[in-house]
Amino acid sequence: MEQNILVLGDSGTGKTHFAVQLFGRLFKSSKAIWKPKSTPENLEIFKSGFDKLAKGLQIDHTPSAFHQDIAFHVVNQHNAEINFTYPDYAGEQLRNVVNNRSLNKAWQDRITASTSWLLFIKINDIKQVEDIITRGMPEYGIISKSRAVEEQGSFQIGDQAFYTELLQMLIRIKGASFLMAGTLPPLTIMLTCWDEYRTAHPGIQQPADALKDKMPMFYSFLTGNWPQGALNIIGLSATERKLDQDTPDEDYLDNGPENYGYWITVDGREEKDLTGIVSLIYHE
Amino acid sequence: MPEITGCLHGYPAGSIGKCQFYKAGAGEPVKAATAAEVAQLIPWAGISLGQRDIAELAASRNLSVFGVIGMQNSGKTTLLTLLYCLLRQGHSIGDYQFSGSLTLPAWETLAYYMTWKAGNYITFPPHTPGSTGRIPGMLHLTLKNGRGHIRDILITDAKGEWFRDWSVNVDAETAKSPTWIHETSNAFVLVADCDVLSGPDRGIARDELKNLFNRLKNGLGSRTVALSWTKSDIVVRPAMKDNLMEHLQIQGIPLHQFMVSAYSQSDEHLPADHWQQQVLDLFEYLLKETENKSMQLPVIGSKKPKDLFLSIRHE
Repeated sequence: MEQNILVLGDSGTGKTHFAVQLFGRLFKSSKAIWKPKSTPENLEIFKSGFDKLAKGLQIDHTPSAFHQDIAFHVVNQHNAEINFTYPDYAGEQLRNVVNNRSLNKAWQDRITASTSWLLFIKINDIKQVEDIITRGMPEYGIISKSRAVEEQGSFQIGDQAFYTELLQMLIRIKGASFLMAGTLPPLTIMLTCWDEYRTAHPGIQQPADALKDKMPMFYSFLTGNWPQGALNIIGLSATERKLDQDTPDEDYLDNGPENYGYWITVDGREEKDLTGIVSLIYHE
Repeated sequence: MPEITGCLHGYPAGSIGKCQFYKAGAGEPVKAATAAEVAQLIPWAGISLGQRDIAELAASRNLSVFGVIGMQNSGKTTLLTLLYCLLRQGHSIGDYQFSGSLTLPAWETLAYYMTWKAGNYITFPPHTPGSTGRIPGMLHLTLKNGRGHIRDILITDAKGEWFRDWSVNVDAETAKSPTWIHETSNAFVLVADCDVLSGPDRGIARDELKNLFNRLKNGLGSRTVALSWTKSDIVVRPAMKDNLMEHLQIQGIPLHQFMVSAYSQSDEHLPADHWQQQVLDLFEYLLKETENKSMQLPVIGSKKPKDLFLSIRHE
């Protein structure tokens, strides 16, 4: 059976590092369950990524002018096939989708054809808003009533509302309905740069707890709508450590990038085999 | 909140000209949409909902409308903003948790005022604008409890001045929106402003609140009214409170009272979030009171054993 995974993520959430590391594994490992079906049509983005990691360097940010879809196909021995599609690879458009409240034809087609969604969120970068609930005003009169409007210029919809609205819109375009949970495409939330998150939050083991802690309203939206088996919240550290743009990582040079990177399973276990993510996403 | 109309095909007011069925008015250039321009628009506008959105919601969902009734500057919008801020920080309304909203940008805009910004800066939401249309601005929430029971609620956010006009003259041009709220809502929040009820104008404020209540109880039927004392950090003198409550309670309508405020409680015997918690309590109470009173299914008179669908529903 063929499955189409729609890969979604804001710019800078680590989509390229994941693709390069995963593809490296699929190409190089003889033990991998999943094999590349064919070389991606547009190898450019992967080629420079492979080279960077082989040099022990961070992959450059995908230029926002790169308005192309990237697709790669993998198969297993039972001929199960998964197609990963990255619409508008650079990811900048994702914000526009929500801000402009409209999706162009290319986006609509991708959504319609997709059978499952993979959403990248760089969890450590999510800002928790400090508002009247988290930090109260003990004295009367601190609040100014008159200057209300001037400061509103920098308003931007918050992260929790952004991701909630994005998924609400995609569900609508897909023709699915929250009233019929069976119509919702299976969803995997990939919390990236888990190494950074783990250093900052040593007490939290499970990716779902990390999401609940940082984005409680979005977490409630997800768990309230997606049936248990159709929602996976996992962690990913594609490179295992922060790589520099200029100074090569000596260990990377010696051991090769394929020996770095891990993911965190739904129940909080660390797994080295990144291809396990593909098996997790694949729904029978 | 601005009033949203848009069209049946999902084009909001601003780009209605792109709809293929749109007929330009006199003086407007006629512009047909080309195929390339036909991007799919999301039907809900994200800002407060209009009549068409409501019809769609009511048709497919377990929908309740909560009318928030109160004078100008009495804290109606702040009450709603507090509710959203609480949900955003992971609180639930009793057993009910946030599970979606068709007005997220509107909620976020309001919540942004009550978010700490650079320079320790925070404000109350501004005065609610409004035209004299019939449908007030409304904010939407989908809530779900642990048993998977879904509730959709619409909370009205209408201009306070309209309510004063409505309490004086139901036929006033500006009373259309309060009239709609009065006819449509499944339950009400009556807002009593502690600030004005303890200030120099408290005599007038008390009379105005009584008038508003008198108007509200006309044709109220069995619908619930919750009394929300906003700005509860300010103390209303017992004599004033007694006088007001005596008038309200003599009407024979049970009034549950909730003390709410954006401020933290400073009394050491009470938790700091005491007044904010009551915002959640207030909406939990309304949800409970409207549980079986929202969308009424038509009663099926006769049960025909052969008609499986009707038989199932009748069970």
